[in-house]
Amino acid sequence: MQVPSSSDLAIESISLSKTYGKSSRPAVADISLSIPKGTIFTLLGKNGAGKTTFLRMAATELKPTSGTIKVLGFDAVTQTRQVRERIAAVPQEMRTFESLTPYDHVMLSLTSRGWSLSEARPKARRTLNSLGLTPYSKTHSDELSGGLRQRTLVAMALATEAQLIFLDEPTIGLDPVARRAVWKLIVDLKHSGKTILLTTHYLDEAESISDKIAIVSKGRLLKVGTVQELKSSLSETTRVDIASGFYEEELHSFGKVMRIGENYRVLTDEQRASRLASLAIERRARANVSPVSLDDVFIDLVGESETDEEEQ
Amino acid sequence: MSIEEEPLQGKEEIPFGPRRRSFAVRLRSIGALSYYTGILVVIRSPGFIVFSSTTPFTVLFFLFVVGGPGYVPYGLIGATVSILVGAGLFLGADATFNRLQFKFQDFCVASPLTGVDYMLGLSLGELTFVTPSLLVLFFVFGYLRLITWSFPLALVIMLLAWVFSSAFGFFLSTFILRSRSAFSVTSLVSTLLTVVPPVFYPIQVIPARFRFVAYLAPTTHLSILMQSVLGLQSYPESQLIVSWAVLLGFTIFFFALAAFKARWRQP
Repeated sequence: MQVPSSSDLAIESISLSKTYGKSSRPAVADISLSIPKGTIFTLLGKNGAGKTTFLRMAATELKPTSGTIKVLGFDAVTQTRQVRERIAAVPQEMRTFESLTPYDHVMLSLTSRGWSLSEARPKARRTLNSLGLTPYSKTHSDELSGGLRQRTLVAMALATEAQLIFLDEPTIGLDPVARRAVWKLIVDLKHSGKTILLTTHYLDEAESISDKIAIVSKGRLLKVGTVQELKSSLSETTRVDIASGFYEEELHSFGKVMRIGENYRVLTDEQRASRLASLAIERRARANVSPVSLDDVFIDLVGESETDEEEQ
Repeated sequence: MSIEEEPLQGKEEIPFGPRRRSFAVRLRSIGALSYYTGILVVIRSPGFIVFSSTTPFTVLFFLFVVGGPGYVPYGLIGATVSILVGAGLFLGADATFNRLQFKFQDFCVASPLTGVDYMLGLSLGELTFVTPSLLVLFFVFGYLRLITWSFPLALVIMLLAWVFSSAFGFFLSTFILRSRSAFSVTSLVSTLLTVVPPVFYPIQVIPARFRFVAYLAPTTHLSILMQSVLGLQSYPESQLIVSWAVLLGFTIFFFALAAFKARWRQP
């Protein structure tokens, strides 16, 4: 695998750590990460895993406790001016202003960055158009759906032409159609040469649009790679989801067993998966065989607990 | 249609690059923030104007009823100071909401905008909410023949009042941890600065042995200067020098505090 040089990197962190106040547990612990330019890079983890803290440090919103972080070649702690001129960020749970329209929001974003009105107006119109927001451009945001409001926020960052865009949980609370619209937009951004650092706890989102994924848990970096590389990191290739008809103990002989709600998931190789499926047919039990997914990698690394990690 | 399909005329050959933050660009940023967070909001929701001026006009009305017409000029000065200081301090509440609820401050931090420009933009926007009330007060000043050759100096004092309170409000906002606290903290500080000290009445009303407490509040000095400049009350020259020094000192101190010590980036 070719290692990118520093000039090819959008973000490079070395032993980056952050501990809030007097907390005993670091929110981000010793993360060293290289994010190449022109890619969609996703930080994947449960709520409270440290994704937002990492993103906020890269976006110069938060000071690290220790370690270094370079953004587009500039130190994000000491060269904030240079970094901020080149980035845009949509913070997690950012909200639109009720009395402003999507057009106003994009204009606010551009003109507050110093764009002249003659530059900003056509840019705002084109950005709204590219996001399908033109029909709503004059609607006050309190009359817009959650999806349209989220798209408005993404438009505020996108219009700036920043080289690096930070999107912190950009699809949280959106319906499936709106989520896909935001995904398309993020992919379009990459195709226009931008780098996107995304955080999410949605596995399908990470799998659908990311060039590379970093799985984070309890502030630590567990694994980095493409979706394929992450899947290959599992020794098992196949999974069998069993709804009923088996005891957990007997499934252990087929492979790694996980409890998913009322069901079992067995991670195994193709041969044993085939045997298990045959056995399920004999017992008239419901079994579903499929290749391992990012879901399996995530659960394998992070665990099956449904609870969030410690809140920051 | 993607963004690349229609390049921006006149700019298409210039790939995105850092925009030098010249003075003109900074002014544009400040103007944009004040327009979208103040002027446009007032145009679309004029009701906010009434809210921001209720307390000063209520106090003015009570002074007129209880104290008689003689207290009206003092009440006018008090209302002016109260409105301007209130505008500055309520910037603190709005900035807290922008940071904690709307996450707009984080959006701005990750941009070329500086903390000072952000503060100035929001405070100008906040001024929009009180401008109609100030115009009403100025009209009454004129009606009572209080607008004389020295009125520009009164405007300078008003400007300093607005600057120091805005800087104080913004500085305060960056340390407030819960948005629910924002309005209670700023309302408390506003009351302590504009209702308790001798802002709506001359300091002579307070017994001499307690006046030192009143002198601790910068708003007391604001009122002394306003009363002197508008010819309502004569004060010894030494008192006026001290009041100017205190007002300028507070303004510089709070502006420096907001510029260098406010939490623009979170620690």
